[in-house]
Amino acid sequence: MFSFLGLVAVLTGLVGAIALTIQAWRYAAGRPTSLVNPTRVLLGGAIGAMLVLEAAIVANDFTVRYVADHHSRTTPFPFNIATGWAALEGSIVLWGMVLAIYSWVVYRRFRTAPTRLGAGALAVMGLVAVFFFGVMATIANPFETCVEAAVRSCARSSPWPFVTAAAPADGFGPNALLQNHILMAVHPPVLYLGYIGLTVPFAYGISALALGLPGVEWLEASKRSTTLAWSFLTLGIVLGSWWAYEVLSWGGWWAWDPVENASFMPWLVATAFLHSSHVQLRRGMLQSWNFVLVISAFSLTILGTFLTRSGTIISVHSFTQSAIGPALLGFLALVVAGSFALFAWRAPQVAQPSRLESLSSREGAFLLNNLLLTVYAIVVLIGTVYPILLEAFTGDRVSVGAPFFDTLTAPLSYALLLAVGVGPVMPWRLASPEMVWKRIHGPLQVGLVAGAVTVVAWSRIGWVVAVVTASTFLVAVIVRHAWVQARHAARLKASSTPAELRRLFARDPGYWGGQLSHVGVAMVALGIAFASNLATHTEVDMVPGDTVRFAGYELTYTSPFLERFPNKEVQGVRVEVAKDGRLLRLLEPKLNVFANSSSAIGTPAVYSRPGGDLYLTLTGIGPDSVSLRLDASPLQWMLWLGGIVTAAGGVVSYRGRARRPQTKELARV
Amino acid sequence: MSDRARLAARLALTVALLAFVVGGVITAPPPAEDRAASIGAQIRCPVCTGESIAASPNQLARDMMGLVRELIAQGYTDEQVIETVIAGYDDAQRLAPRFSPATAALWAVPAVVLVAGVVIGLGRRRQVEP
Repeated sequence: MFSFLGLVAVLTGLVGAIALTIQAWRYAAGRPTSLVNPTRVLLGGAIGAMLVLEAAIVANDFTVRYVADHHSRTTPFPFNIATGWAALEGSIVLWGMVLAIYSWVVYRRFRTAPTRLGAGALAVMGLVAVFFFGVMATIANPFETCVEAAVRSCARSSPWPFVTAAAPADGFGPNALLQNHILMAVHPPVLYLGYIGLTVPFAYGISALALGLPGVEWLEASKRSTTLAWSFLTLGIVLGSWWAYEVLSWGGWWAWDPVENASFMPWLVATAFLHSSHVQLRRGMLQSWNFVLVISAFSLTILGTFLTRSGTIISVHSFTQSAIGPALLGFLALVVAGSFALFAWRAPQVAQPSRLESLSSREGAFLLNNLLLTVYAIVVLIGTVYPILLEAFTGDRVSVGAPFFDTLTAPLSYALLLAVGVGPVMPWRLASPEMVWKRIHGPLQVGLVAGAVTVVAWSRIGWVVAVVTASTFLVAVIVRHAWVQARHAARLKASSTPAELRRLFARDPGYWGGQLSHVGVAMVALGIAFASNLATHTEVDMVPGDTVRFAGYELTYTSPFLERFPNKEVQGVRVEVAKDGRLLRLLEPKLNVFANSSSAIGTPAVYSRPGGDLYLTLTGIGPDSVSLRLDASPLQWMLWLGGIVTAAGGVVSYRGRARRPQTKELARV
Repeated sequence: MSDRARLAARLALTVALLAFVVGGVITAPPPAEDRAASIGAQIRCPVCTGESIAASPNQLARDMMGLVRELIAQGYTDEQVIETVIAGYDDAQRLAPRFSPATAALWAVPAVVLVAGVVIGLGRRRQVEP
């Protein structure tokens, strides 16, 4: 039954997508018609497909091939729900649903202000949906009916729902790494909301190019939708790193894994677009460049999906291998070639060139920001795809790992941090040195005092001192800027500075949301600098009763334990953490042996305190002794909190613009 | 105090702070270098998925780290340690690819983009009328 319902839902979505593409295109070509029905059909089919898949999983219907291959009766909640998108076919269903929701969002904007641009954007959304629902209906159909059962999976299946179904007694269950932490159920949907959200600015950009519509209408719509997608993407990346830290047992959170890079590249390009679109809105510059950025950001999301889902790169994230690789690669080639051909043809008509008056200005700072972010994205892109391209074309094998990325991105990151400090207080058009000095000399001294305190009291490692100085400077510039403006307004209007401060934030949430994100970025930079330079680790072998001293703690191994669950067996050890003889916490690092996986997966035990994290990994259990890896990373929380603050800044910015769409920005003091 | 004097005082304070911070960093005693960890970070764990032998908790990776420490104790240079440890595997075990004709583009492309960006950025400035 679920196979049938699922197929109906997928085909409904496909019909909706095709109808939306055709109808919206007719509207854009000048023949207005209602677009509500195709959008509704697409949305209904997409949500229906996801619900049917989840229902089949919850109902343990192993006649559905996807359920037989990726679910097991023993998979507990919420991991059974997450199974709905954990494997390839399911992830395409989630993709389709999120894309349909965004199409609905674009439609709502179109409904309040029907324009040819909006209709064209809906046609592009429809076209992208045609691809994904087409894939769902053919090569990655999650609703195929199992016709020959294997022991714990399905041996042969049929796309036709009315065949005689066979079902294994139980399924294989999801990938062991995916049923180990609650974050794994949350991270992929959030990341997808960010990833797929970047289809919207792409759709507006392509619409403006195809219809030959100059002006900033496409840009305003794209900037708004990018702000939303970017916030989700930021949060998704942070949650992914957090998951890696909590689950993958190496004490790190970022490994420049190709799939991490796949989410980071669109983030870099979207960040560049958020800034460069502002330059066009204010100064009419970078009109062509903005098209390049929205096309690139979307293309990178498709590239990322290809890298993740085709099995081209074997990494901890590439759980799947299937015929979908060639389809995604073909779609990527089509998107890149088609979009850039359209761009080359239409850009001269749609985008006017404009020149810069002086590099020493806000727009100059934005230009520097875009240059650095672009080079950054290129570094990540080439490092990620180089091994694949080299092997594909020459057969030579090469690895590009963390040492390459760290060497090249550390200076770029630091330059960006400095640019973030100075950029927001540069005046537009032309900044006189006196004006800039007036705005930054105080914060510069505050930053240097923080650097000096670090040198005297804590660490003399170059990167740590440099990042503390730059981050403090950055935050001080923002605080001073807000304070000076509020005080100025308070004097003029004879009110109080705090009241004016509140009014200031309420009046321009777009700007101040951006500044909140900058504060988040400074916190992330601090977190990275501390963790990469000040973290310590050691490895110990212990027998019950042993005590070791590490990072100011006394760690006592008391006893091993064994726990059995339906889907896994857990071996662990109990370690008492004490400081100065006072017991603080009992930690239980574990090794999980899942029924469907031969290798054990560690679950580190993390003890987080304001001063930093103590991170215990069980690396081996012998007959008498156990091997433990001990990590201490100071102020680790700064990284996670910084990431969340960065995303929150995007939300503030987005919501602010939603409430007052007609507000034109005013000249600032 | 005149504006100029105030400016001079502020500049002097800033420069003095900067000198103190930079001086503090430069004169810091070199940190106790963990050679094994930094060499291990450059070698891919052969049985893991994209992790270095320094990061992986895998038994083979831990054995290879043991070999790294042993070779360091015997006085090998960093490059000699890497070559000995990855002997029998191909160059793809190096996470930091060596510069060669095959990897030249890897390093060149970011540099070219950076230079091109700077040139285009400078070229876009409006010509100032004399």
